[in-house]
Amino acid sequence: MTNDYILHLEGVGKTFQTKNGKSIKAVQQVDLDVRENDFVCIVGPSGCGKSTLLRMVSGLEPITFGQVVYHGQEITRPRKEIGMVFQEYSLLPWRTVIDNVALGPEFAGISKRERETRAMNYLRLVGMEAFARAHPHELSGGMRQRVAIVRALANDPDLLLMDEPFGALDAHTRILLQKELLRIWEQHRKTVLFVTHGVDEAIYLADRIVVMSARPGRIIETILVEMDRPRERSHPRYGHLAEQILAILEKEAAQNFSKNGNILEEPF
Amino acid sequence: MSKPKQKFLLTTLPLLLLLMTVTVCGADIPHFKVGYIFTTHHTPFMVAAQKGETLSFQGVYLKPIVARDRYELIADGKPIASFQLIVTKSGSETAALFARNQLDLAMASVTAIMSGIDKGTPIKILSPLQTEGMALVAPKDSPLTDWESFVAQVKKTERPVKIGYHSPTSAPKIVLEGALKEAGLKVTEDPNNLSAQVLLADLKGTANLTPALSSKQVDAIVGPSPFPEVAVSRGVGKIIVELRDLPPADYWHDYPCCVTAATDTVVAQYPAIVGKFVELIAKTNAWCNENRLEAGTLAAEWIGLPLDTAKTSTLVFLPQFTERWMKGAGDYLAILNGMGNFTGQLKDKKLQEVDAILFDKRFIDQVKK
Amino acid sequence: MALKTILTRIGTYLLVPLLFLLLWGLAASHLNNEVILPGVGQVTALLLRPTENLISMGSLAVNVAVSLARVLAGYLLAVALAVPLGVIMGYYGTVFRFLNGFLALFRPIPPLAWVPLVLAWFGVASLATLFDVQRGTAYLYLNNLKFSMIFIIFIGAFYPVLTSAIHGVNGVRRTLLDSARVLGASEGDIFRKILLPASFPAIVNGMRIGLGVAWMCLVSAEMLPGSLSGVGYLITHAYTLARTDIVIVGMVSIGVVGALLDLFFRVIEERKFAWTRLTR
Repeated sequence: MTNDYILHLEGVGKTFQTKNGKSIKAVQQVDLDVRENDFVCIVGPSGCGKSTLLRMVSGLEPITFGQVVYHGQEITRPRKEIGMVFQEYSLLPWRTVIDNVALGPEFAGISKRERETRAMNYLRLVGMEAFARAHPHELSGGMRQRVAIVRALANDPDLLLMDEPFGALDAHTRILLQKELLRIWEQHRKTVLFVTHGVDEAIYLADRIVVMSARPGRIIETILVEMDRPRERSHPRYGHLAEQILAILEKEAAQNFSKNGNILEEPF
Repeated sequence: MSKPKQKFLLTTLPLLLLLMTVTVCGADIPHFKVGYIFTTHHTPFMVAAQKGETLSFQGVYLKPIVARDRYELIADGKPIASFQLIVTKSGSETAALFARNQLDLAMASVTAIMSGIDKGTPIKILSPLQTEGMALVAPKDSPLTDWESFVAQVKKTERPVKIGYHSPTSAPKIVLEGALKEAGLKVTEDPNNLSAQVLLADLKGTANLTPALSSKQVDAIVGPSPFPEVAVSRGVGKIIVELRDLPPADYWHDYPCCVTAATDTVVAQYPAIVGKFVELIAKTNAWCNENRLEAGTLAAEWIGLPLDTAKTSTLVFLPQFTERWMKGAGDYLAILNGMGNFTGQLKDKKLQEVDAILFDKRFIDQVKK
Repeated sequence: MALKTILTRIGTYLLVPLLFLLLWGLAASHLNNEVILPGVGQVTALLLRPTENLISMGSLAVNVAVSLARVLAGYLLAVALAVPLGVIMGYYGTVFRFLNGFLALFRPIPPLAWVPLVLAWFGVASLATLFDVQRGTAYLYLNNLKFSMIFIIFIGAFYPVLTSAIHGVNGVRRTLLDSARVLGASEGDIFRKILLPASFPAIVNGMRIGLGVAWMCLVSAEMLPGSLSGVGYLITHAYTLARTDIVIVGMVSIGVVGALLDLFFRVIEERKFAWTRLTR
């Protein structure tokens, strides 16, 4: 195991200003290090700021406190090396599937023929080559997310950010796509930062699980999964981890309830 | 649209807007905007426009350049002016266009021109167009046949008899009101006044005259030619009496309606052309009197009226101001002052006092018959 | 398709119109007054002879064509100005804040209310005046396009198109823009390849509505002094002469042309923008 951290978050925090002048602290103080080819999952209750954190890493969201450093460079705007997959509505609906996947290379100025070849290769990776000329609205949710994933991959990023990419899918499709994601990841190793509120999903996918508190989000605990892939949900460690993480979250929810008087949403 | 195209349009648009305010004058001959109304009262003008060169025996005639739109005024065989024809909907609209400097010459009712002059619009009345051509019209199946039976009917009816007119300052309304009062009838314009015998209703425009009669909104209408004739032709009404024949006998003969008018600027800068214009109208007036049927037909064709209305026209076109005409104009002035219509130069004045403000008779006086 | 299906289809489309015509015919014969309501036959006869000269104004067909030319002139001007302006206002908040308040003041003013001002400014000036054409067929064509009328139609079409453009751009999903950014799009790419295509359906929809409004402004526009043609003017002149049958013919023509223009847009929208209907 190498010790080279390619992504370094130091004291990262975000405060939003509302129109009537109020401040909302979304993310409190996050310190995180990610090594090359790590698969890190960020788990937390809804509204804890994990998506905001991811957006800050991608460069889409300006950082209020602290900094994000990637390969020694501070991130202030989006870059090709950092790709991102969103939960839904990310495919350009007026373009065909292949034109969507070829989008990154198109922006990079690559010729039409070359980028179409590249796009087709990636579509084959997820078995979607037959749908190259279809439009997104003709596809199911699961198919669209497959396309979204390969679109991000086709741009050849080093770091892949994923913001609850399977959150809008039904349970069965979700599990299928989790498997498929791992399969792709085995072939095209990348550093992945995956945000979810599903504990089960995190345990299935990640090397390392970072548990976030409710808003304002901060890291409560980091857990190393240390299981071989593919993971079986029947394995005792699986259940043990699940219990551990859920306990953390429940305790966090109870504290918050007594503090604010609000009932926070359940993690699943 | 691409960005460069957007930019191009955004820069040329203001330029276009600037250019739009430019009106063009002919390089050689001066250019005038002439206003008139789609009424048979302005027949001579329409006749001159349509007959064109065939009226050359008059010495002055119109030559069509673009039908219904552009004409040249020809005098002594040479074009001396270019006319652009503008149709207005009423005398008030004509006066308004004069006020905005968008007309140079026009034909309109004398009352409308007076209102304009009262407000300070720098225009003058040059010559008369016609008299008569106003009638009282009852529904087609009415048993009434003439004025006497009409007055008798009014006296018999319990609720006020409703008569519609097209404009409060119009000649037909003023004449009728005068005659009703002469007949000793109580007249009102207040619909809530149930003790009156006649209720005069403002129908707000000539276009509403026939429909109001046919939908029984009013019991009768009074209006200028050709609207009484249109009502007859559409099978909606019948003419009870021509307003000229209202008692007392002869009183309403030669009652003024339409006149020619011009701006002071045009009169000052182009007196010769104005003179020829007045001559054209005066001479064509005479022709129309002698060729009533053809004149009526031409006017009907121009406006789009059914041709049978031409046969029933009673218009008399005047060659010059007559004493009766002037008296009638004076009556108008007094009546309109009585109604409080005039608040400017004409307020509370008699005709003799304001003669110079209203009229410029030099041109019509010069026209030899 | 089975004969029964075809007949049912035709029947569904025609039932209400036929009922309407029946009621009209009954009412007309009952009133027996062609100034109030002419008979169906009278009106149809006029419609079937659109090239016949009506009340000295030329034929119905020519007048409709003149009106169409005017509407298109005012409409295209409105689109040329409103689409770019709306896109810029939708995308740049600062521009929006600068202009929106001001523009919003004029939005509720009905085009007809502009008439007095427009008359005072433009009078009877037309494209013929602009290009200094005084005679010939060019004059005939250009003089029909009076600035006052074009302005009224322009102001009618401008606001629907502008508002739709602003909303179209505003309503572009943020994820689309974000996705493009993380894929390495430049600001120019974002504008040309994401923003414009995404807002296009809303813009085209606004253009459809704008054309409808422009067409509706026709009658008010053509009442302005100067021009003696166009189907709006035909209606007002026919009214003056108590030719209600021509009034109705004019109205029917306006309705038919308006519906066709609308249909034209709808077909485009359906063909090219199928993707809007089914995105989730």
